[in-house]
Amino acid sequence: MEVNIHIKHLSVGYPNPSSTAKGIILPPIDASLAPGELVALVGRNGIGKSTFLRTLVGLQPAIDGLIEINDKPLYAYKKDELSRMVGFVSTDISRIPHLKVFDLVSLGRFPYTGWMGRLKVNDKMVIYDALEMVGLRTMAWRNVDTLSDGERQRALIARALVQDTPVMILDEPTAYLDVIHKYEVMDLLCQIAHKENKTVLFSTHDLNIAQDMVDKIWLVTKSELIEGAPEDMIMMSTFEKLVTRTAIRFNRVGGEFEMGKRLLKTMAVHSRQDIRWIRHALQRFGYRAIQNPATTPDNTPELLFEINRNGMRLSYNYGLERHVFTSVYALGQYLRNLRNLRTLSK
Amino acid sequence: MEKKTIKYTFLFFCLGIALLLLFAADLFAGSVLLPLPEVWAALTGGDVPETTKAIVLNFRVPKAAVALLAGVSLSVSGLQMQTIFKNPLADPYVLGISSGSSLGVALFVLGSAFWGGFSGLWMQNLGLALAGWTGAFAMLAVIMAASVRLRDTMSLLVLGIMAGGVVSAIVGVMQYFSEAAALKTYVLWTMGSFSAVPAGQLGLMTPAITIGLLLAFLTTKWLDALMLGDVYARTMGLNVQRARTVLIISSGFLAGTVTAFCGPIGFIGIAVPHLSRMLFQTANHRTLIPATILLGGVMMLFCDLVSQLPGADSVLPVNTITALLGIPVIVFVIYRNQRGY
Repeated sequence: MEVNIHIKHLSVGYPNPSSTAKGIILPPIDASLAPGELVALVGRNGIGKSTFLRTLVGLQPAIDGLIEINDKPLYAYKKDELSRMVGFVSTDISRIPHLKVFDLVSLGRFPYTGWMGRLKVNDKMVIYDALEMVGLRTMAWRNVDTLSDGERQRALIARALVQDTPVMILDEPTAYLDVIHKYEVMDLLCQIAHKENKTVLFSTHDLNIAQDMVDKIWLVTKSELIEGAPEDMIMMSTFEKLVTRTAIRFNRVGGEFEMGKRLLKTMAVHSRQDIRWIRHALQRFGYRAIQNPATTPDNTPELLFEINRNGMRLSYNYGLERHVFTSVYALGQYLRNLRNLRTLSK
Repeated sequence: MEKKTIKYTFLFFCLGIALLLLFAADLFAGSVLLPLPEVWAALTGGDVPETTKAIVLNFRVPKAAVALLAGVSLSVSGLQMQTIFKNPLADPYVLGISSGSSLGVALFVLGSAFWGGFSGLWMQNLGLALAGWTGAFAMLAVIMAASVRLRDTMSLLVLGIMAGGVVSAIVGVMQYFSEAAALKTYVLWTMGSFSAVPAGQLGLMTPAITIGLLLAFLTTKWLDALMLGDVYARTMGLNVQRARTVLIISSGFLAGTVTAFCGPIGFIGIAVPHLSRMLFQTANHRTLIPATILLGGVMMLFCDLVSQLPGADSVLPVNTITALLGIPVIVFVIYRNQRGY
């Protein structure tokens, strides 16, 4: 089943009779979701992403505007009807003793089982297929308590999978995970969207991972929701809208945010090799690197860089000082000491 | 899968046997030890002395039956409360059912000085039970009315505890101004007893508990859905408000009835659900409901048996035994499951 979602001038928030603003926490939103689309919702902490997602799955009423699922308003769906259309994975982590992975996932069959909740052969097949897809087939009878954070997140996604809804909405599925688990979960969401042709919408702060995988990004700020492919956003400088402090800037080449440092000093780096990471390190130490300048002005330190199978050689020359280091770390320590000495003498 | 089914069948079978054995033991053990053949003869209408027959049919059978019903009811109710409130320390009394009952009984017993009270032990017992029942359900009605406005489960929990505190204070005041005899009746009720229910009143207790158990069976699937929290339950299509209401009514029938007839009996309601989870290694309520029914019956019959002090003349209050047996279980469970509850 394919589902199109249209969001028309939607306001979300908490109705608050005592104020005229009604507690609206996001600007009126217009957006749409197509079948098989993987969409990341990004925005600053506290902007109202969770409230927006909760409204989309029908957990709280919209204050104004309309959410249409296949041209029928969300509020017109009955509870059990909706539970077969939209699945949800929340950020809640509840510890339930003796809960088996299989039993957790099987809860997703709730809308399909009879009054006793007994699982039929077909239900069990669906559950095992979902466990296979998230890579927990062999852990079916483990206690959920004993899973790692990443495995538990995958189990919760499997629960939403067996609910067999054309739309899956996830609130920060990559929060609390280490980098590898973040990639695994996002890859899984990618498969669910593209192989199973489901619409997958998730909120995230892992912009750099998301932009490699998603079809579309919804970026929310205090004043608007902008939608577009990640590349549209990079080239149109959309991500910069998230930034409110000047120290942080978006690196369009790298596709990620970075701390902008004021680089006061320059250092001449002589090398026939790629100095990308030397430049990276020097930037952190407060120097702008210039590779192989024709002439080196006075008062400019020089660095000779060479790396091969036997190791790394960094020769630092400045006036009468001459030091050789075998690691970036050692160079960094030296430069830091130098800076501290200068500050002291002042 | 196959192995799990065999394990469950075996466990249920063992619990069933234990239940039967304990029930039988409860019939022939007491202040007078009756030989097993005589008990059997009394039950089947064989040739036994009148006194033996009277002891067995009018005293031992009702008492064992009440103990069984009480164990089953409190355990199922405890399981429901632990799941609804996602709280390992929840018991049948978190919503103030016991304090409601206490208020009813206190008004009946301690207040009898003002309106004379009933004559006759049978009427006195019935009045006590009805007063306790009315109190429990009045408290439940208050909580239910509040729950319509309180969508948050945790607020409901706090409300229940606060209501309990208010009632205890009122009862305390009443106790302070009561006569010694009335006070003793009240205190005895709070200690819990299965022998206070005459055979005739089993006919009142059983249907009320049956209603509660029936509702518990019908709502098993809802309990499973509620396990992950309200958000997941709602996105899976469960009407959480309605489910909570029906579950609380079921729990009220179970715990309220037992408390009215036998007094507030502690610890079984917390301990048995934990024990069942540990024994069956599952959180699945389709398994846990029958498991707590059997284990609850077993535990309570055992407590009753111990409280008789076989061979001795006196009977200890049930509450002392449930505390002595229940608390170590709870401590052990907490110790074992430090990661969860």
